[in-house]
Amino acid sequence: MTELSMPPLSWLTLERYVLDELAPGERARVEQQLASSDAARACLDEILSDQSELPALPAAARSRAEEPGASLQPARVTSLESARRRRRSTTLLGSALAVAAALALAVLRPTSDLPAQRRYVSDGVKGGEVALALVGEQQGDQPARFFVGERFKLLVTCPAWLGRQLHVLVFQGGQRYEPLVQRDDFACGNRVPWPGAFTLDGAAPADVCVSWSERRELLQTAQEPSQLEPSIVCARVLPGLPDEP
Amino acid sequence: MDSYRRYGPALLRKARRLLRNEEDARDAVQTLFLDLLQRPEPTLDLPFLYRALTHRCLNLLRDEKNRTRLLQRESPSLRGSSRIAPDAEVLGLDVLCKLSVVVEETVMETLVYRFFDEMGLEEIADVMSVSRKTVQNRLTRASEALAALGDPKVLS
Repeated sequence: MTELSMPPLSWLTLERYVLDELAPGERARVEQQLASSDAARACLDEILSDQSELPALPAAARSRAEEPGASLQPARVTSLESARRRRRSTTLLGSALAVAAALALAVLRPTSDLPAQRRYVSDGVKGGEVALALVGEQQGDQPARFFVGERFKLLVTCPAWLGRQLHVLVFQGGQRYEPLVQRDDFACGNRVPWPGAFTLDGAAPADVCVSWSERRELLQTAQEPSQLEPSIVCARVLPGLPDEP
Repeated sequence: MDSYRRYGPALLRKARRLLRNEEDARDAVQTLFLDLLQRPEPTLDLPFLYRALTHRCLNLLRDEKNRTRLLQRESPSLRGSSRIAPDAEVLGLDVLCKLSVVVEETVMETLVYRFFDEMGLEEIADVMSVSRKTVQNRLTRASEALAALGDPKVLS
């Protein structure tokens, strides 16, 4: 491995040069080197021509940070388990909200006493809190299993800036399905019902997922949720047992 | 958050060079700033953020559950051309992942500054607040670890 006689300008130095954050002496040195090195100028051009922008940080995190003396807890990725715990704690105080959700979802039977379904969530959500809750027409909130013919609705919690990017996907037995169409007008919020409903069948567990991946080709070809990590959250439901309704 | 707007694009370029995929690079930068909102730092200049982002990216590489995804998404073109080490393509993600589990984090960090951020030894010493000799020693350890991994090209 070779090194040039004059060490190249590092990316950090070039970035600081562009940001005008170098001391005058250092700036002069950089300009001298830029004048004599095609490679250094090419790197500078690369920086200057990069137009990519990062999406805004979630408003909730920003506003909390800007409140004087406020806690600086950002909106963060929350596992569905913790989201569920929070829902439990808010149930006592906010039963009206639960009732409203239930009305929106038609008639729901009491929650099944089957073991809690396995749920999981990926790390690394782009700043916002994304969660999903599956609601069965017969079993109600957080169904553990699916039965032939049972309709399911999806409640999605997401930051406002993410709505247009969301896709609903179901992975089952190595296959992927898109039971609900993407909605460019989906208005994110707290447990917002996704328009439409769907049914599940088959003998394999089903992962019902919401993904906000920017990789369009992967959204159309992924065969399992892990391929869309970290931009995906899922809820798993198992096939119903033969002696159950 | 002013520092996010000011430094975010520079950090995104750095994350792309190291992780070699756009999505994980963006995630790394965004989650870095969200953590900073939670634990504000007195000084948020670019050298500090470069270092914080380096740690974040190395943690991603070290974590086995991320590795497969990162390797699947690797787009070598995002590495860009290397001025300091024309044959540094040996430092693909796969090699970095393997290396990250056999050498200390400080060695990995030094390696990133040298071969991805293309810093000189003095600059690395400044950023890491260590001596130039320490930087040299860490690069030597990285070179030895690469040789032990059976990589045909060894950093020198």
